[in-house]
Formats: sequence, C-alpha cells, structure tokens
Amino acid sequence: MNSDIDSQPKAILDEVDRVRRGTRTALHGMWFPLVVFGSLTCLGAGVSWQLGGASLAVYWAVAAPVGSVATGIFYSREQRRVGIEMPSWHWMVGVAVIIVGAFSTGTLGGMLGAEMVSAVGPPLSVSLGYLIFAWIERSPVLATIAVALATLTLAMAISEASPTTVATVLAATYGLVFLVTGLLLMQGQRPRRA
Amino acid sequence: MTHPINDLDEVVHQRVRLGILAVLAEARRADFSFLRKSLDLTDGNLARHLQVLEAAGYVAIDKTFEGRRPRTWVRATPEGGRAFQREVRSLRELLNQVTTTGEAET
Repeated sequence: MNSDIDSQPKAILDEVDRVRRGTRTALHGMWFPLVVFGSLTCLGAGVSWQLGGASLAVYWAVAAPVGSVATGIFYSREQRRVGIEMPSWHWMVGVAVIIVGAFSTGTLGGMLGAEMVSAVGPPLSVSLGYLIFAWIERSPVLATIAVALATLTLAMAISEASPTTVATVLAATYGLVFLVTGLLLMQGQRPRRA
Repeated sequence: MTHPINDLDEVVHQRVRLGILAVLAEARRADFSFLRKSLDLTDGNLARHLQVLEAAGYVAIDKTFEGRRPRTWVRATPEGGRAFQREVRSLRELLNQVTTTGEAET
C-alpha cells in the first residue's frame, strides 16, 4: 500500500474538520451571555426571595429583552472586530427554546396549580437551551454544565423542599454557575485575544 | 458506479481553496484578513485562490468601506456550498474505499 497517497484523503478531511472547528469557535463569545444572564439570574433569585415567585415573571419580562439586546450588540461588534459573520438561526433556536419553554411551563404550572412545575420548568428550559448553545460552540464544558444543572433541577423537583425554596435555590445556583463559568471563560480568552 | 476520484472537483480539491470553502461553510461571510489568518496565507496567495473560486462562481466578493477603511467580505455562493459538500463526500468515499481495500489486503 502506498501510505502517502492512501493517507491523503484522511489528512485533507482532518484539516477541513480542524478549519471548520476553528471557524465555529473563532468568536469565543460565549462568556458574555453567561456573565450577563448569570448576573441577571442571581438578581432574579434575590427578587424571588424578597418579593415572591410571582414577581419573577415581571422581572424576566424586563430582564430577558435587556440581556438579549446587550448580547446581540456584543456579538455584532465582535463579528465586525474578528471579521466573521456567523449564521444566527441556531442561536435563535436556543433562545426560543429558553423563552417559550420557560414562559409556557411557568404559565402552565400556574394555571394547573402545580407550583413545582412553575418552579422547575423554566430552569429546565434554560439548561436545554444551554445544551443547544454547547452544541453550537462545540463546548464540552458548557454541555457538562447544562447536563449537571438539568440533573440538579430534576433532583430538586422530587425533593421535599417547597416550590418557592426550589425556585430560589435553582435560580441562585444557575446564576452563580453561569456567572463563574462566564468569568473563567473570559479570563481564559485573554491570552488568545492579545 | 464511477470511482470517487472522478467526482473530485479540480477547483475545490486544491488544499487552500478547500480551506476557504471550509471556513465559509461555517460562516455567513468572512473578511479577507480572517481568511488570511485562519489559513496562514499571504495576501497575494489568498487573492489568487479567491479569484479562481470567484471565476468558478463558488464565492462572491463584496468590497465595502467601514469609515475610511476598505474591507473585503467573502461568502460562499449556493453553488460553492454544494461543490464543497460534494468534495467532502467524494473524499470520504475515497477514504472508505482505501480503508476497505487496505483491510482486504491484510
């Protein structure tokens, strides 16, 4: 066998995969939404604790668009700076999963009087959305975090804690995990950005 | 059935041009500097390969200004996207044939 000729298609395909992966992660922007939404979620936990779970819907009706617009502006600036424009449809799918999932499970739980559904539905939607983001960025770290948070959410759902406690603990946990992960990713990107 | 080597596209098969299309397969568009840095090319080398791809109708090039700074954006045309997918498919088939033949020989 002529190994030079035979290994060439594999070498070319490996190179193509490497280039595609490098392009997908060229923006290194995931830290920003993690920090923004991590901070907003921590703040939301405080709002829930102080004013009760019902106030969270009003809080997120304001906070979610503010965070989304800030993230959109950030990505738009990063794309111009780095020199690459990524397709946005799969990000929109992730965002839609979070928004539709969170609001529908929250509302459904309220309508059915199932407070636990309202408490765990929105966080589960968020973890599912982040699993989609992890796939987009090909990030095993983000995927692991999303699965761990979903597992914690399901464990809390079958625990004996009250729905209000579950909602507050999950909001605080999600917020802190996203915030810390975002800050670590931001730190990790500094040498590459220089 | 034809041998997959006959399906390889001369324009796309060249390594740099395949790299350009690989970047553009993931992005809506990329600017000249990004392509040059990603593929570790010189300005002249990249420009030559882009001309070949543009002449084949595989990429579209937009020259714009941001303030006073000129900027060249490159995007794959639908035909370019299809040519890239065909090339990757042919390479995979070729690799499969080589692997199968190798296993049969051992």
